[in-house]
Amino acid sequence: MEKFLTEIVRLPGVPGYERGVNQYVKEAFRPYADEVTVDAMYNVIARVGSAGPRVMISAHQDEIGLAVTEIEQDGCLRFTRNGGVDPRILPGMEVEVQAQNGPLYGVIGAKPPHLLSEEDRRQTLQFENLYIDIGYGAETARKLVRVGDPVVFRAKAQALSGGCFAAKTMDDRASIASMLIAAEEMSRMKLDSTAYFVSSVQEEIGLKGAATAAYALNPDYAIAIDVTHGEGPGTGKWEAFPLEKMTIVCGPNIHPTLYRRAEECAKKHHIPFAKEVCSTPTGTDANAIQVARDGIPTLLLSIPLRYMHTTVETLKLDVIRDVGRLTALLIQEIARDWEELKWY
Amino acid sequence: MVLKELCALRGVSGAEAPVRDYILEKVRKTADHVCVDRMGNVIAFKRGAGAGPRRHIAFAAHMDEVGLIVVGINDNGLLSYETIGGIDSRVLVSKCVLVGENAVPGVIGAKAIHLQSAEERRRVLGHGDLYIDIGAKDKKAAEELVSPGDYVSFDSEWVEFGEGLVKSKALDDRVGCMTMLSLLEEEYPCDLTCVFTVQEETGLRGAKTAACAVNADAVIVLEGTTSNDLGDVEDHLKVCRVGAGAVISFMDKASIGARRLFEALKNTAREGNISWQLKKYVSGGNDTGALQTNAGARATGVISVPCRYIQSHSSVASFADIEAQYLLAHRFLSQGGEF
Amino acid sequence: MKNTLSALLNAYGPTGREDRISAVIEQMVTPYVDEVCRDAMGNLICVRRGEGKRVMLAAHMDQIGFMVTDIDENGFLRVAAVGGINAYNSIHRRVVFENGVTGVIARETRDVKIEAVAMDRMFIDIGAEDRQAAESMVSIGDVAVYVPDVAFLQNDMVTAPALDNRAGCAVLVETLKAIHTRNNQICAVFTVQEEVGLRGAKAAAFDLEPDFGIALDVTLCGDTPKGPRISVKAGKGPCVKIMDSSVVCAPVVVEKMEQAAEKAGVPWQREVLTAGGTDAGAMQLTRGGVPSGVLSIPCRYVHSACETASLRDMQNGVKLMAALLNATI
Repeated sequence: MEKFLTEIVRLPGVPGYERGVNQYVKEAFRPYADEVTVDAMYNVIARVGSAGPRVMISAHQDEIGLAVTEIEQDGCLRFTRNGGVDPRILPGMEVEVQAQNGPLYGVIGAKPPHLLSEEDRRQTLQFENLYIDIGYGAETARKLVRVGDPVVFRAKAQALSGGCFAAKTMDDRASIASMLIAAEEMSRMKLDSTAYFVSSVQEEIGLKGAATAAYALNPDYAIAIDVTHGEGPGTGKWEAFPLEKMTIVCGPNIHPTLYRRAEECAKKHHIPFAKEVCSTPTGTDANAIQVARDGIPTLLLSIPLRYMHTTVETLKLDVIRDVGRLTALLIQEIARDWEELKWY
Repeated sequence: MVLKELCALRGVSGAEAPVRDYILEKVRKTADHVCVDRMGNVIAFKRGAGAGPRRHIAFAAHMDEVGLIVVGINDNGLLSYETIGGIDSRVLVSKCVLVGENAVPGVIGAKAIHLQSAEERRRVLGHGDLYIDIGAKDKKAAEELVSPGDYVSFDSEWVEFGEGLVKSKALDDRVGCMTMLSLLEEEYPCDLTCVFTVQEETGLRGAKTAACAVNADAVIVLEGTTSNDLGDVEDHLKVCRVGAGAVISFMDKASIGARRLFEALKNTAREGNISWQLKKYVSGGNDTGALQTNAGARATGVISVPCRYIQSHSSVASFADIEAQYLLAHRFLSQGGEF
Repeated sequence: MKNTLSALLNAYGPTGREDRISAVIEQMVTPYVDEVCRDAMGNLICVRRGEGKRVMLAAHMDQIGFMVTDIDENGFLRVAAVGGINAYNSIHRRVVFENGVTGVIARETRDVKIEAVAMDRMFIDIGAEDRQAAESMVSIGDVAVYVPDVAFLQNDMVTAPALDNRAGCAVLVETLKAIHTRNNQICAVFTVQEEVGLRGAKAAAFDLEPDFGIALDVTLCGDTPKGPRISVKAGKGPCVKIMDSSVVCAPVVVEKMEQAAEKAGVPWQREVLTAGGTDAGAMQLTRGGVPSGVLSIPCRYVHSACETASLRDMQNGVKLMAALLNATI
């Protein structure tokens, strides 16, 4: 799994430009799936099984990043964000501009501390005052880079002690790793269920891929997998969770029956979890899936992670495995008494 | 009284089962076809009388009410909560609530005024400063009665007072539910669909999925709407007045009504001598926003009952306005739903 | 182009009250399409039948306006913004209702600083004697728009209110005239209620189930003194949008549009807009997903009463769209 994570986080896939990840994800699911397809939005859909209730499992493959907005007279690139990037993490960040003829290395400029006034230091950074230095003058820069070219962050994956792992884009490629584990288990179990594993797109700009995939697949029920906030510096009570166990989410966004079944299943199989209460529609694919078609009963499993939306998103590998296992076991149990199950 | 029974039911967004069950029992007796979609909306269809081509009119009202949800239990036995739907923290202080399916009673208190410093008295109490106290002595004792994820509703008595007014929780939008229950008891020359939606207060979420079930010539939402008609409020900010009749809207934050339907509703009210008023401010949004566009284009309109102190423990409405909402909808249907 | 645009700019059509502009457009396009109809929201749907993929073209015909919410005893009208009206920009502007009643927008001057003025503190003065006189001219729910005031400037530049989005409508009307093949199924939709959240396009796309979507709309310019930070310049060609806050355009559609621009031999610009949305945002999310793009016309001072754009950009936009749609998509 470390190998998978290390490889997949290197692939560029800002919202709308997930083609860069598609092939890798397809190949990863192929050994376990009966069929793998890519739809018009670039969602990768891997089907495992062909009988029984139809379940959609969703984790998003896109990552937050930037887009070039302008090429200045001095060759530096102005940019805006594509997804929820905090501008405060940007100064000194290494990036890759996904230019037409191949990626270009760049650094996001920062004023040297010697030149900062007291007032400068207090100011929060704005996108429009930052720039990317790709080391070329305007003439060359304009030949190489076009307005709109996607920009991704460049950071290495790092195993830490205690089974922790830090990398960019763990949100949400870690959950794709969970889906792979679930797919593997399911292909072994020979279930009476049809599972559609959707590596969804454009989650970071509004849960878009999951919305269209849920409409197209119209599953009987759905399980979204995403990351949630792990306990760490500055996190408050009830808003962050220990890294050691997944959370099962409850609230209006989640179908109560699915919550109850997931809780029972986790207890039965001694899979550790915490309960996460979400009073509003969640900021995950579960939100879009629930309101597709005439309503799709939806569950959300989350992997706690520290430092969300930075390039050192940190989590525990064991939790990724637990989420995968619980997903497969739950689908199996629901398939068993599907005929008796009533949503209301 | 149906409205009194409806208002007493507990149905915070996401936990509407008691309201749904009550409504199902009623509409199964009156409608030709009833279904519950996978989101939990109740959709009741009643064929119009007579042969030949008929108009098809849909009405919608939401079953859910604003409330709270328990997010954690503190070591001292107090419950932390978040709100479901927009609730001003200032209206929660010093109120009674009911927690979870077993309706465990609780109170939301605040530090006694005697113990507050001058500075504390000036500060607004936010949700983060408030807790639900169910009387448990510690976390363990509380866990025996409630758990995180439990929905919390206001515990508010039904009180009739003043000149034909009523105070209750959840008037928004049990008034609309009641109007639809009454409409389903009648026979009309047009087909009628009544949609009882869930989760309006969390962002019109039930209506999003119900939209595909309302392929009608028009969709009219029956709502409870804000009235801000007392105190130091300038005329143009009052929105509408309690006791001045059913409110016909032309626009809110979520939709702009179909013009011909808007005119038809005004004419119907005028001709039927039904007390009516226009909504005189653009605020709020309701299920119309989702029903209008989510499954293709629909002509939409809104008929509301003015409610004071909406989204609080004590909302106030007038029986005459509630009657007017029904009469207007009824007359519109009796005339075949033409617009 | 000049005549088409002028006619469109002079037609009344705020959000939710698009009947008049819709009638003007219907008359313009009827000879060039096979079928014209309206849906329940008022979207004007113009179909040109053909082989191949179904392409939905969306140009919103609504414009921002002021809806009357209350009439006071002295005959002054209280209003609410319909769409993204900038209150400050509107002070002392002349406005007109559908029936021709003209008024001026003014504000409470006591206790309110001009920079901080909100719509709640503004009103329309139509010169009425009292409430009764005002009510005989205007009803609550009626909508006023900036008085159409079209002027042609130097260098093929035009200024008027409502260039957002009559510029896009003009390009779409002229594009329909320029399509001479039957290689695609064309559904040209002049949409309603874009300015309040892409509502018309959302509903129309659901009903039409297109394979691709292309919106035609205006975008901001960065070419004015210390203007917005955007690479777009008026007069340097229509824009192929890459992204805005409502949509990341489908790369396949962007590529097709760029190839069409090359083929048509017109200048074009790539555009990243950091605010604002277009009908493409709604089309893309329809049903199982509709790959969508946007052709934008650069426009200065958007949502003011003197939006300013280049006729040449519009003409080049037509050439680009014709090259795209005459070929098989």
